[in-house]
Amino acid sequence: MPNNEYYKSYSFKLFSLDVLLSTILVFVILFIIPLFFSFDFFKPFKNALADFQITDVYFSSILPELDIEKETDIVIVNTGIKTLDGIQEVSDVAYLKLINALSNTGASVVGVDYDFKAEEGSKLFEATKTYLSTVNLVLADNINIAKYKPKKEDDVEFGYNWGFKNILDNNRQETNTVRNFKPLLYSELDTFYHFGIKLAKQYNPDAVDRLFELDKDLVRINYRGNWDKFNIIDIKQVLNGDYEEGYFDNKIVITGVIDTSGTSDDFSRLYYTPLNETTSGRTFPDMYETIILANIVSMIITDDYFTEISSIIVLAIAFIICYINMVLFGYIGYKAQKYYELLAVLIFMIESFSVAFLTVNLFYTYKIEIDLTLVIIATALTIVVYELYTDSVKPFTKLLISKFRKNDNNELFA
Amino acid sequence: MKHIFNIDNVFATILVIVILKFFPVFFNIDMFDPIQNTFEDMQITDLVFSQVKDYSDVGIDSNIVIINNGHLDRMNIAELIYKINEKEPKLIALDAFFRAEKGPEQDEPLKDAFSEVDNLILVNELTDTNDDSEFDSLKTSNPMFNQYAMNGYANVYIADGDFKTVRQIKPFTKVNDKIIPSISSKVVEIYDKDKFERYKNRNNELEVINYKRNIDKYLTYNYSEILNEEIDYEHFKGKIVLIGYLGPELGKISTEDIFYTPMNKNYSGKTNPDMYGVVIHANVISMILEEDYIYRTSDALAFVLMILVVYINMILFNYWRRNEELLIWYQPYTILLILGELIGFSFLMVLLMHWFKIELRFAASFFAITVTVLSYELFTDSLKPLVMGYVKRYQFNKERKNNIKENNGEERISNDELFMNLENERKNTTEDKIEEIELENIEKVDKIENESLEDENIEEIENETDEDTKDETNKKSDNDEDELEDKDAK
Repeated sequence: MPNNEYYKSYSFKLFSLDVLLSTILVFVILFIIPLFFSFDFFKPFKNALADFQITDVYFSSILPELDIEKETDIVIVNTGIKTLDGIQEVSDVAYLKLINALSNTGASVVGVDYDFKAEEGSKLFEATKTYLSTVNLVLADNINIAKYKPKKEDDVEFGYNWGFKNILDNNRQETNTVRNFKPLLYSELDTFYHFGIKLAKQYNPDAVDRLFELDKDLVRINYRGNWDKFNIIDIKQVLNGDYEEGYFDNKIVITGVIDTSGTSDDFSRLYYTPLNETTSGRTFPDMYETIILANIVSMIITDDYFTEISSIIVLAIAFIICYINMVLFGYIGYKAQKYYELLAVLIFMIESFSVAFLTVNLFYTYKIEIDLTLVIIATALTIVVYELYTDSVKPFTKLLISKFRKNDNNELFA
Repeated sequence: MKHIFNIDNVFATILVIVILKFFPVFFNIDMFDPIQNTFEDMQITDLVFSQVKDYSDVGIDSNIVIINNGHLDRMNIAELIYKINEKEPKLIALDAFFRAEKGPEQDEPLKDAFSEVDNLILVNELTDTNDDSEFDSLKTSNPMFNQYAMNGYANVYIADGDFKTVRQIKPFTKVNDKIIPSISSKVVEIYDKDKFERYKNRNNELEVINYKRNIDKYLTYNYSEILNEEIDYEHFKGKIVLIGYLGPELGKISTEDIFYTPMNKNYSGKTNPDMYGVVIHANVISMILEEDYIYRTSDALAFVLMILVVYINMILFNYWRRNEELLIWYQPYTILLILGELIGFSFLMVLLMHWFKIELRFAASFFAITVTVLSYELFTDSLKPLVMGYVKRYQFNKERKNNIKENNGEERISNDELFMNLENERKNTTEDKIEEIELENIEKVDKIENESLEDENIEEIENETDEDTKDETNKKSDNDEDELEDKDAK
C-alpha cells in the first residue's frame, strides 16, 4: 500500500460506501477470473481446479485414521478371476450358477452388477430371463442418459427389478472424483431408480423413504471406506459352498468385479473417489464401481447423510468476511499504517487456515458440507482489492468527477 | 538512477528469496495438499507436448518394433523369441524380469531361446536399499537367463512430486563406482555406436525426453499376432525389437507399468496415464537415433534470471511509488505487470521449447514474481519503518544514557528536547511536503481562475479547493497530534 497521505483518510468505517464498494469490487473480480480460463487451452487446468474440494481431506486423511467398523449388512461377491490378461469377469453361465447358489442362502436381496451377453432367442438368454425374474434380485445397468430427459414426477413406484448404476454427478468428467449420486432419473414416461435405492428399498423401505424426504436431486456419498470396510467373498467360494452357515442371512449381497490383490487391472473399472490418498493432481483411480455402489447402499440403510449448506449462504459468508476485512484494513491503514502489510498478510493467513479448518471439522464432526473455497479466494482478493480501491479506483474516480464538473462548468458559462 | 540502485530494492529482493524458502511450509499442512498437488504436477513446457505440437507430421520410426508380451508365461515367451530371432533383428531387448526359477518346463525353453539370440538385452533394476535416495544395488534376472544377455536398467526417472510423470531420463547411473547404462543407452550402443558416443559426450546427468510417439507411431504387435504368424516379418530384419507390457491387449490401459508423460492431453489434474514403460524407452531410443535433443538451461541461469526479474520489478515499483503523477496508477500497474510477466514468460517458455527445443527452467520463478509486490510493500511499508523506528528508539535511549552519564546522573536536556532533536529532520520533511501540496493547490486554483469566466464558478471551485486544503491542514494537525502522542508516550 503506497504511503500516500494525500489520499488517505478514515473513510472505511463500519457502515460506509467505501467498504461496500470495495467489497462489491471483490465479487466483480471473482466473476471475471473464470473468464480468463474459458479458453480451451486452459480446460485441463480449469477441470483440475474445479475437481478440488477441501472436504476431500476428511476422506483421504482423517477417515483412514478413524476406527470405522466394517459394514456387516452387506456382502460383496467378487466375480473377477485372475488370468494371464489381468482380471477378467466370469461368464454368463458362471453368473447364473452364482445367482442360483445365492438364491438358497437366505440373503435379503441380491444386487447383480453384470452385463449379460446372451443373445436374444438363445437357450442361455431364456435361462437368464428365468434366473433374473427371482423376486429378491436387482440387476444393475447403465442407462442412456441422453435418451431419458429428466422430468419431475411425484409418483414413486417400485416394480422393476433393475436400477441404473451410472455415476451421475453434475457436469462430471470421466476422471473427476465421484462425490455424489443421483437417486432418481425421470423420463417423460418413467421414473428410474438408482441400483442402490432398489437394493435398500428391499432391505429397509423406511430408510429409502427417509432419503426421499430429504428431497435431494444429488446426494453426497458418505463413504465408509474402500474394499477393506466390507465383507468380500470370492465367487469360487460361493459356488463351492465354502462359507460359514448364516453368512448371507438377511444380508444385502452385491456381485461385481473387484481386485484386492494389487494385480494389474483395466482403468475402465476403476474410479477416483475422495478416499484417494492424493486428493488432487496425478494419481491412479482408487475404487471399483461395486465398492462405490456398496458405499451408497451402506449410507442409505444407516441414514448417514451429510447436510449440505446452500451456495447462497456460502456467498453471504464470503461477503460478510470480505466486508469485515475491508473495515479492518481501513482501520489498520489509518491507525497503524506501518503494521498494515504485516497484519494484512497475517489476517489472510489466519482466515484461510480457520476457514479450511472449519470446513473440514464441520464435515467431520457435524456432517455439514459447506464448501468455503470461495471464501478463501475472496479473502485473498480483499488485500489486493482494498489497495486497488483506496489507491487507484477511488482517487481516479474523484479525479474524473472533478474533471467532469470542470468541463460542465466551462460548457455552462461558455 | 536512484530508483535503480536502491538499497530498498535489494532488501525487498532478499525478502522474496526468504518467502520462497519458507512459504512451502504453508503447504505442508494436509488441508492445503490439494492446491500443492495441482500445481506441482504441472509444468508449463508440458503444454508443448500436450497441446501445441502437431503429431500428425511425425512419421513411424521404422528402426523400432514393439511387441506386447502381455502376461505370457516363459514357455510362450521362448516361442516368441524364436519366431522373432528367425527374422534376424539387430537386437532384442526385453523389458521384463525373470528372477525366480519356475521349473525346467518353463525355464529350459526360455534359456535355450535366449542362447540363440546374438544381441539380447535384459533389463535390470536399480534399487535403493538404505533409503538414502541413492541407488546402491542392482537387481537382475536369474543368472541362468542373464548369462546370455547384456543389461541396461529399466528405471524411469521421476522427479520428486511428479506422480508417475516421466519427463527425463538418466542415461547412466553410478552404482558402487560402476557406471550402469539405461536400457535405451545400451540399445543404441549396439545399434549405432557413433550416435551413442555423441549422446554419451553430451555428459548430461539427465536428458529431457523429446516425446513424439505413442504406440500408434511405432510398429506395434500383440504377442498373439507373432505366435499365430499373422504379420509380415520383413521389417524386423536389422531392427531393434523391444518386448514389453502394453496391457492385456493392445490399446487397453492397465495399471501395470504405465506412466504419465507430457504428451497426455490432460496436462493437469486427475486423468488416466498415457504411456507404457516400454514405449517411453522407445521414445528415448528414437530421440538418440534422430539426435533430436532438448537443451536444458542450468539451475544457475534460472536463479540469475529470477533475481533479475524480481529486481527489475522492485525498480518499477519504486519508480511508480515515488512518482506523484504515477502513484494513482501504482496498483493497476503492479497487477498488470505481474499478470503480463506470468503470461509473457509462459509464452516464452512454450515458444523456446517448441521452436528451439530449449527448456527454460523458469517455472519455479513464477511464484517469486507473484510475491514481488507483497515483498516490496511488506518491506517498504512495514519492515523498514518498524526497523527504523527501533533504531531511532535505540539511538534515543543511547543519547539519553550519555546525557545522564555526562552530567553526573542528572538529565540536563529533557527527554522532550532529545526526542525533538532526533525527530527534527523527519518533521521538517513532512512540513515541507504539506507546504508543497498547499502550493500545488494554490496553483491549481489560479489555473482554474484563469480559465473560468464567471465569478460564481470561481467561488465554487475555490470552496472545493479550500476543503481539500482544509483536509490537508486537518491531516497535518492529526499528524502533529499523533507525533505529540508518540512523544508523550516516550
